Amino acid sequence: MQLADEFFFIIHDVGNGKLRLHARAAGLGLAGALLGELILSRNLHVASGTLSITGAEAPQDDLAYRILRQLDADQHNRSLRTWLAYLAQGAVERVAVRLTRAGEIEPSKSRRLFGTSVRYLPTDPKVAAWPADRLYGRVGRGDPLDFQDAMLAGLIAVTGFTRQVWWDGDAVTMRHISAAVASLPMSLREVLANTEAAVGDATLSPHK
Amino acid sequence: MSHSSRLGADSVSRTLAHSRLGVPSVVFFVLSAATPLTVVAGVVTTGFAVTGIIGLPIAFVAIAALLALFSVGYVAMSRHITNAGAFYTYVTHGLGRPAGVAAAYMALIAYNLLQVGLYGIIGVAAAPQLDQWFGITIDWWIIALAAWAIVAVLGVLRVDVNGKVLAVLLLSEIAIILVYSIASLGNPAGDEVTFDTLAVSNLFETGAGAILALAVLGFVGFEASVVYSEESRNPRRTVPMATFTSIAIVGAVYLLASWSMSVATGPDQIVGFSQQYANETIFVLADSTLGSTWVDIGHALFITSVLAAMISFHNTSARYGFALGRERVLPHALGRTSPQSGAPVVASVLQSVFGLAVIVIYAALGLDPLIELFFYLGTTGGFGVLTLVTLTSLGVITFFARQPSGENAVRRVVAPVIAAALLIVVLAVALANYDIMLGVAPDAPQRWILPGIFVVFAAIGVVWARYLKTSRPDVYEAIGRGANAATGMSVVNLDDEVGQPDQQSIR
Repeated sequence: MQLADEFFFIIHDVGNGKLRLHARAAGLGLAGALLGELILSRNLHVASGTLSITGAEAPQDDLAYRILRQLDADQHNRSLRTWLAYLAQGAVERVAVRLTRAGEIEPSKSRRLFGTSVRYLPTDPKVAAWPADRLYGRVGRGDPLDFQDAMLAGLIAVTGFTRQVWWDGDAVTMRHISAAVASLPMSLREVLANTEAAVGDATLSPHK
Repeated sequence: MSHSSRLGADSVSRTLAHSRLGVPSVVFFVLSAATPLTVVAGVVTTGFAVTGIIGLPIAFVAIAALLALFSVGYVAMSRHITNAGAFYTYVTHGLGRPAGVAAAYMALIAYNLLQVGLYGIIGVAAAPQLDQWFGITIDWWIIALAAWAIVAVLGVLRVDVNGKVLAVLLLSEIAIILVYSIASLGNPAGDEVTFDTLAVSNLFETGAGAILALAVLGFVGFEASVVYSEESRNPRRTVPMATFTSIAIVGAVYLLASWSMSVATGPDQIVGFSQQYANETIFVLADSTLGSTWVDIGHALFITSVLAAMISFHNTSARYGFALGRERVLPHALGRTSPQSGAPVVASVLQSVFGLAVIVIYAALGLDPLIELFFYLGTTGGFGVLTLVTLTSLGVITFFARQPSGENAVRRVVAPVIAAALLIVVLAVALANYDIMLGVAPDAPQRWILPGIFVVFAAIGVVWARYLKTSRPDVYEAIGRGANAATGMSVVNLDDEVGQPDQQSIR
């Protein structure tokens, strides 16, 4: 499963398909995950907050391919922060479309007093619960984390969702996560740092 | 990857620009926290009554001009630093980190005082209304506790009052102030429209410091315009225009309202009249000219205005605590947010605890909610903001002296130096006249204790900064960057790899 898909499942309730993280942090976390996917597939490189495309073979996945093409088309904007803000706007919906096509979730719209609300019910709750369970177990046992798991743990931390996954986490847990994040390549850590900054900014901006 | 023309260049910029703010939006965001009726019905009337000085209207003009002058350098500097909304950032960049942390602590207590002071006025504002409309008599502190509960719950849920609701409230408040003012001007005392309260000579008489510091209280919130720098359509034009427009609108409303009150009563009677009717002053005046319907509308708006101000100052205080927690200038726990709402929960709860403590203490000691809670703490908070503006103006000068950053001489030197000199004078006379501002004897202990709060907090800040410098140099280095800079404080440490060979296969 791709990084953004896993983050998507972690921040949604397995039982009722509702978002458990506030919308701006969810969007930014998913935007960070989508850029993370491109870094993991070696299509993207980040240095000092600036993006560059490596020219490696384009990814198979349709969403990752589209984003990469967009990055390539818009040469004026190289700022990681700008792209995070941009991708955050439709990130939940875009990842939901990918998961729906893969048959992993079923969106169900319900009418409410004002507008409609969408829930993303997983077709197989076991699949949806797996990313959180796996990460919880690995960190709890002190197992080494690969880049994808470390990035996932980092995204959970910077969006303020740590307690929702490691509800009984102590200082040892947190140190293990920090160490795993510290071993990540610089490109991924920059994505994490900028995602955290953007989430903090969202809390500070009164009208968002 | 080259077949990309179909997407068109710059779709990112266009999409993001769609949600960008123009001058009117920024002005609304800034003014929505101004809640003018709270100032006009609460601060202006109590100010006349307590200080016994009639020059408040001209003081609003003087302070508006001074803050506009200050804003020239302030807005210019905001373009060159991150975390632009907070005074301590400017002080840090200009005067160094110890001064910055001192300013941060002073700001935190100043905004908290401004917030909790409002619990006093909601009590006295709503009590007579509840009696008149529903025939129930309630102590001020019960009303204050009810308001406190609303603020505490909304703060944790992060329910900022909706922008459109605030806009409607703001426009209604300004409208009712205009109606009251025009009615007052139409019925002047002794059939003569007087200009005594607008005489510039008021600014050079004994007690001028008191009315100048009071006037600053009315403008608190103007500093927030620079927060919107990154989201504005054109930061170089939008933010300065919005700042000056906000100051001008607020200044004009207060000038008109306070002057027209003095015209209606006669300048020689305004002090006695305000002492007799306290926060009811403008409503008593309106009742005699407009009738009770207009008074009821005004009363209702007064209560919603105070409530909106409470929520707004609560959120400002909580965000300040959050930003400082993220930087670890305050304990890191304050930087924690609620996953569901994104609210700075810990900082919000702490602010509420402080508010509750103040209400309980005032109720237990039987202190006066209007004078000793609202007016003392409000004016002291305003004095704190005046101190911060002064420190910031010095920070602007030293910042541009070190790095001109391509700004012209007027923005870098001329405006900041004149503003700083005038602000220091205003701050000095305000401190000298603190007894007059509070309406107490020159040797009363409060006149030193209340401004002394800031000295204590500044001292704690300096000591804390020195501690950080020796024991947590990494935290010390990052002071002033704010929660919105990519400092990576939680789990990400961007400096880890410096000087180490790269062992990862991908970078």
